[in-house]
Parts: sequence; structure tokens; C-alpha cells
Amino acid sequence: MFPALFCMLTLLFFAFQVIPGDPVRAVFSGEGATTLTQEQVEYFRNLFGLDKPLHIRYFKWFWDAIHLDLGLSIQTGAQVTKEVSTRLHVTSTLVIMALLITIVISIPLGIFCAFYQDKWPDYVLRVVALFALSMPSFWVGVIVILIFLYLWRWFPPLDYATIFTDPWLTIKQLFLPAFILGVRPVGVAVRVVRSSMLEVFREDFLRTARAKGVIERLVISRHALPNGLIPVITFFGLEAIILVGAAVLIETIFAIPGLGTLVVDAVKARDMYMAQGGMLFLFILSLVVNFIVDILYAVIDPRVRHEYAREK
Amino acid sequence: MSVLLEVKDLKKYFPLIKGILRERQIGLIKAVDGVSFAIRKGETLGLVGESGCGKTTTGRCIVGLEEPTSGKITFAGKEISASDGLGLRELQGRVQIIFQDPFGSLDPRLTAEEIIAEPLMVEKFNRCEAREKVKEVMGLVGLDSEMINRYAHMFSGGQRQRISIARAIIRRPSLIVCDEPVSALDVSIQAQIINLFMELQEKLGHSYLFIAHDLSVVRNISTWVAVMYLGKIVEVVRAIELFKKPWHFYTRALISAVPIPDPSVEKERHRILLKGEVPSPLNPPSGCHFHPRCWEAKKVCSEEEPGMKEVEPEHWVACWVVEKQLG
Amino acid sequence: MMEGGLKVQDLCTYFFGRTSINKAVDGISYEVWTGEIMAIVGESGCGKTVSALSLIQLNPPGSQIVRGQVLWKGRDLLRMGSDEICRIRGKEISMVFQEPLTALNPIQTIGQQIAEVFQTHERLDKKEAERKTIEMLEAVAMPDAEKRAKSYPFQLSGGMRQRAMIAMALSCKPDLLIADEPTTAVDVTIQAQLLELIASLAKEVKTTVILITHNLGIVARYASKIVIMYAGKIVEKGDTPTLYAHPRHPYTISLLKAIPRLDQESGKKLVTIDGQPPPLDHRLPSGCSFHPRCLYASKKCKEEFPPFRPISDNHEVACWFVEG
Repeated sequence: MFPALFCMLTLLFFAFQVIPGDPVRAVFSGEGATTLTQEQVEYFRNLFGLDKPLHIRYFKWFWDAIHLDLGLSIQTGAQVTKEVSTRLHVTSTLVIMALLITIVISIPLGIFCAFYQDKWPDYVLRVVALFALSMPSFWVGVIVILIFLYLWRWFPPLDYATIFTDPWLTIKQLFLPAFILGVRPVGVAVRVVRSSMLEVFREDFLRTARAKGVIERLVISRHALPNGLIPVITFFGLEAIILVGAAVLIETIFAIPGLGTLVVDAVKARDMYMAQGGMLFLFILSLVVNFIVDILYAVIDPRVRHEYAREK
Repeated sequence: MSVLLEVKDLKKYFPLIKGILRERQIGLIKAVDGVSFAIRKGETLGLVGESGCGKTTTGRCIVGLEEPTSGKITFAGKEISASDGLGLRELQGRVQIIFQDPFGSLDPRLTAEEIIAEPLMVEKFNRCEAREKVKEVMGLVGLDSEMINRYAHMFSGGQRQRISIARAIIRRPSLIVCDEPVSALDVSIQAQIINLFMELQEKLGHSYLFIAHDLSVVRNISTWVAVMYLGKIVEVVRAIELFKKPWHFYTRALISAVPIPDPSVEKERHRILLKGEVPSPLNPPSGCHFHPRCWEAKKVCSEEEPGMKEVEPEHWVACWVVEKQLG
Repeated sequence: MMEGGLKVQDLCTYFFGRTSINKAVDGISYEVWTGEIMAIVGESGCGKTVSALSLIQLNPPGSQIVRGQVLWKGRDLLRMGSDEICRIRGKEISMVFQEPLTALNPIQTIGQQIAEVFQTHERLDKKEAERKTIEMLEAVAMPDAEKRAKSYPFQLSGGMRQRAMIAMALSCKPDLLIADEPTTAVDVTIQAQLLELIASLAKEVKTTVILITHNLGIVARYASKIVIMYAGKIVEKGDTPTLYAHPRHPYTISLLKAIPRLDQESGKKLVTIDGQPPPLDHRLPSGCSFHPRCLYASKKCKEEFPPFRPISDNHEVACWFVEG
């Protein structure tokens, strides 16, 4: 984990150096802004440490980041760390909800397809899955909003509740974006679940269970399912990370005040520190998800738990 | 008869490494723990033992696929060291290996010709000459030379083994190491391949190191038999004598465990049932490795390792009890 | 037929592919008496495993039991519904499989897997099932039974895994045990231990055993009756001493001559059978499928599969040549 973090901090820093445009001037070139004197520009540059040489800025960024001080927003002057952490749970809620929706839909469908392998339900569902994974989520998002707008005069909410203030409202508000976010992965997930289950169905230990007199329903639920879903965990772990990226777009479309919109706005305004800070947190979110997947693996599969598998 | 291969005190240890951040060695797998034997020209030494005894590792060390931890391997008078690049290449012209799994050891996307001719790539043969040689060995192993362009996956198990054998003999090696070459074959095919091994030895005069766990097969094909247990050789004797007079207690148990396809003979046999399982090579028992399972074990057996002694003419055993018995 | 015996009549299990039919088991019939150990012998591909699986309707996916009867305690196993046959599997008739690593659920402890048998058939509560599981493990001489019950299959050696499978199969004291190549995957000394175990436990509980193997040595030691299979059909059957002393079918004779024996002279050439066992689909030789490899094949052998003719009291052969 630590090497990844190190690389990410470095990459983030240098990425934002590449973006053209001076941050200070960009911030002050908004509407109703006055033109600055050279003195004032110098002042602000000094305030934000932008006049120091590259390597000093790099080390400072690195050092501060480790101490969780992500600097000051060039736009608002607010503490980046505070801003970012406020929005973190919004994005996390969205991503988790989307992931849950994907899991809840795709696992039963995948098992169903595996059961009816090569029969018509399987074919139909696979075609539907193909459609699902071919549609970019932001496109679907826009189309859905347009349809809802036209049919029911529904607008996306202006003010989003957070999971801490009003859980039920949050879920209701985030349901639609989470659903749209979760639909594309369903297309891929169904296929993954299906092929994993098909492989497990071929395994010998199912035959042993039947030979013991266990009825078919229990053979599937007790023996086939747990084994079949293990490889699926890796897949969902990867999907979750991709979902974090896709969430950024969906947030923008539905005007959800999450990390995604924060980063997008910051980049538009050349607010280097805010953008870096936001990206860093998105990255950490991905790492945490990855970590949870690894732990889940160890919890479920005893072979992973025991470091030395004794084989003869 | 001249000695072709001599192995002295061969050891191969595999370190067991644990740890994520700081890797440390927590144990040593003593796969081969001081093995010595010799093979003479034109003879077959059968190396027999159960899984984990180190026979496969020994074979791999001899062919150069593993680098020994210590010990001396001498081939045709010259000492082999794997670290010397030239030595290894020269060795590969004189020593070849045939593996167990006919389905795993051949690249399914190569044709029979490509597989069999592969060893010739070291020497500079042009395609015509190579093809002639391939056809010649295919005839020797009983494969129809019409099948020269067929892909490996189109052959049956027995035929694939013949291809492996053809590949092994194309450079006329003096020693062929056979690692369980018939274990994965059906009984009727097994018999064909065993006969083939013996025919080829008669015709071409090479020696075999025949590694197997099937005592009946080993005994049928070998001149000499060496029995291995947990990394060490416990008994070496002529194949004819093995069944008549096994001395080491493990050998006796091993023989007793092999059923003979004759019910009238089986009824009369005395059965020895060993208790427990083969211990892990990570933590072999002290002294004689077999002592915990040996029904004749004495105090000295758990304290000191017995060396190989010639207890009778042409019969070597590593056992304190037997040594004492035979003076 | 005595109580507890099994009678198989004209069992046929075919695999239906897109273009061809694979006749894995093509009309086999035999009887096993209570308490005896019968061996089904043959090389790979002869159909012995599929025939055994078919007995309790466990034939592999893609295959169908096309014909036949398997009479057990007065009922036909092949005509039972799934509920009925599930009640019999594991309780009256059990199976032990060849490769215990793949035959055991890798993410359940062996204790859980053995306890499942008790929970399925005897409705025991968790504690009782655990206790009985440990009892069974001790009965199969599993070292450290309590500890091993909490182990996963990958943590055990091949011999121990097979012991676990045997424990699982014998948990409910079945009347019939079908052992499919139970010792092929283990070392020879472990093989001896396991077979002795099966033989002695079976004797103790008066279980009938069907032993499937290609090893004619094991058969000589343990089986009282033998059935020889080739290309989906039985070619010879009889009691062990008779079959070994006076084999009649050319395949049986060749098979016995092709095995190296520990007590024979070394360096002697084995007598081989040319060619290899045939595929069981449309390429299967007509009539008696052994005819392409048989030294005594005649025109009739190509046309029709010979019927069974009794040679003596306990010995039957299906061969035109033997018939005379």
C-alpha cells in the first residue's frame, strides 16, 4: 500500500504542474474580478507557496500530505483537508449504494443464467447484459433526467442530505444516480458470475455432496455458491474502483456535492491544491476498497488464510 | 564394465521462506540428503520410493535441471558442475530425461517432427538431415513416420510417450533419466512402453536411471534397485535379489504393500502394515529417518544415522539392526 | 439373491453429443452378494466409473441412463424419484472417489463435511454430529482426529484426505460401498493401509463393497469376485481364484500377461496387446469391440457381440472363440 501511496502523491503533484495556466490569475479572472497588480499576484503566489522552486514545492506537498495538511484552496482560502473530508462520505455513500445495487442484481441473474445455460433465458439475459455494459453511465444519466423531466417534471434535488443528517432521505435522493451508476457493471458482472458458477458446477465435490444424499437445492446453496462467488469478489473489488471514477461524472450530472464535483470544479478553476487533495482522497478510497476485498478473500477462503498450504 | 555415472553424497536442500516485509528462512526442506550411487554402462538403476522421498529431485540434479546444494556428480570420469556453462551443455548431449506426464510434457502446438528434432538444434543439422534422423528414431520407437507432421495433441498417451522417448534418444545419449515414464499410462500401454525401453537398451546400449514408485515395474526393467526414503537411500541390491532377500525394514514393508496379481500367492504372503505416514522432509526424525515407523527399532536407531554398508556381496543396506545381525 | 445384495441388469448409459453417441456403458449385468467384495476391472475409458455412478443416478451431466435396472432391496434404483434416491445415497449406498483433493469442498473443514452426512440422514444436532464425526475419524485411524476435524482438505496429506472420504462414506453404516479407484492417487504403503481399512471396516459392519480399479494386484488380494470391462461392456466375470487361474477371454489373458510381477524374473519381456483401447463413439469397432486387437478374431467377431456363456459355476465369458 505504501509504495502505491508514494507514487500517487508524486504523480498527483507533477500532473498538476503540467496543467497550463497560472492558478492565481485563473482564480481572479472569474466574473466581477478586478485585474491584479503584479504586486498582488506576487503576494498571492507567496501566500500559496507558488513562488518557490519545484523541488521545494514537491517536498512540502509530500511532507504536508503525510501530516494530512493538504494546503489551502486557492479559490476560497479554506483548508483543503476540511473541505475534502466533508464531501468524502457523500461520494462513499454513492459508490457503496451503486455497488450494492450491482451485487444484488447481478448475482441472482448470473446464477440464473448459469442454471439455464444455453437455453433461451440465458441468451436473452446475455443480450440485455451486453446492452447494459455498452451504455456509458453519464449518457444514461442525462437521458434519464431528460425523461423524468419530461414525463414527471422531476428535477434532481438541489440540496442533498447526507447519510449522517437524514439517512432515509439520502438513500431516496441518491437512489437514482446510484442505480444508473450500477447498471453498467451489472452487464459485466452477470457474465462473470455466470462463468464462475459454470466452472463450479463442473467440480467433483458437488458430486461427492450428491453421493452423500444432500438434496440438489442444498448442494447448490451450501457447496456450489460459496465456492463460485470467491472469484467474483475480486471482480467486484475492481468494479468498485472503476465505480469511483464513474461516480465523478454522475455527480456532475446530478449536481451531487461529492468529491467528484469538488475535483472537477477545482481543476476548472486551476485550484491546484484542492484538486490534488480531492484526487488524493479518491485514490485513498480506492485503496481502502481494495484492502477490504483482500480481507474479504482471506475471511472466506481458508486457503488464502493459511500461508503455507501443506500439500503432499 | 566401466562406470558411467557416479554420484557422491548428493544433497539438495530447499529453503522455506516466510514473511512479507522481511523474508526470513524458517526451515529447510531436505529433499535429497546425502545420496550416493553409481551406474555402469548398459545397465539400469531403478530408483524407487514413495512421494517425497527425493527420487525425482535426484534425477533432476543429474540432468542439470536443479543445482545441487552439495555433493559430487561425475559423468564419464568428468565432474559436472552446473555453474560451469560449458559443462552443462556438453552434459546435455550425453544425458537426457523423459518425464512422467505425457500430456503435460509436450507442447501441444508443435508437430511430432518439431518436438523430436528439437535436441538437434544444438548441433548444426540442416533440415533434410534432421528429418532423416527424426524418421529413423520414430521407426525405432514404433511410431509411424507418416505421423511426422501431426500435432502433439492428436496423439494418445502411449504415443506421446514414444515421442518423448524418440526425442530423448535422437542424440544417442549414454544415460537416460526416466522420471516415472509409465505411471500415467494404462496397463496394456504400460507393457508396450516398458518393452520398448528394454529393446532400445539392447539396440543402442545406453544406461537408464529409472525413477518410479511402482516396485513391480522397476524390478522388471532394472539391473540394480536403490530404495529411497525421506531423502536417503536405504538399500541397494540387484533386482533379482530384491524380492528374494530384502534386508531393510522399509524395503520389506514396501514389498509387502505391493499386491501380486495372483490370489493363490497373495493368500500365503505375510503382510506388513506400516503405521502412520511419511514424515515431512522439513523435520525428518533424528538418526535413522525410518525409526519411528520401524518395528525393529533400537535405541541407537534414534540417535545415530546408519551409513550404507555392504552387508552381503553386492548388497548394501543402511540399518543398524541389519548390520549387527549380519556381523 | 440374498437380502442386501445388488442386481444390475442391462445397464446402458450413453453420452449424447451434437454429432455422435458415446456408449460409455452398453448393457452390463452382474450381481453382488451381501458382504462380498466385488471388483470391476478395466483400463481407462472402459466405462467402469460411469457404470458405478449410474447405479445411484449420479451419471455425469451430458449422459443419460437409457436402459436397465438396478435392483436393490426389491426396488429399482433407476426408477426412483430424486427424494427417494437422496435418502438412499450416503445412508444405504455410499461412494468413495478417486481424487480426494478435488472430491472435497475446499472451503469447508472435513469435520463439517462428515457432519453433513449425519445432519442429512440422522437429523442430529450440532454437538451430536461433531461427536460422531470424531468417532468416525478415529475409526479410520486418522491421527489427531479432533485436530484434523477442524482442518481443511488442503492441509492434509493425500492419505489423510482419503481416510476422511472413507469416514464420510461409512458414517451411516451403509449396506453397500462403491469405491472408485480409492487408492490410485496415494503411495503404495498408504494404499495398503487404506485397503486394509476398507476391508476390515466392511467386514465389521457387513458392508458389501464394489471396488473399481485397474490394478489386478489389489483385486487378487481383496476381491472375491471380478467383472472385467472393455469398451463399455463386460467381457468376463467370475470368482477371483478361477479367473486368475483360468482366464478365458483373450483380453483378460493378455491383461494378466502384461502386468509386471514382483515375484517374477526381472528383465523378462512382458506380453503386450497391440493398439489401444478404442473410443466409445461411432469409431467403436463393430461386434466384439476387442476384435481389432485380438489374436483369435474371426469374421463372426466383427459382426455380433457374443452372448455370455457359463464356463463353470462361477465363471462366464462373452467370446466367440471360447465358445468354440
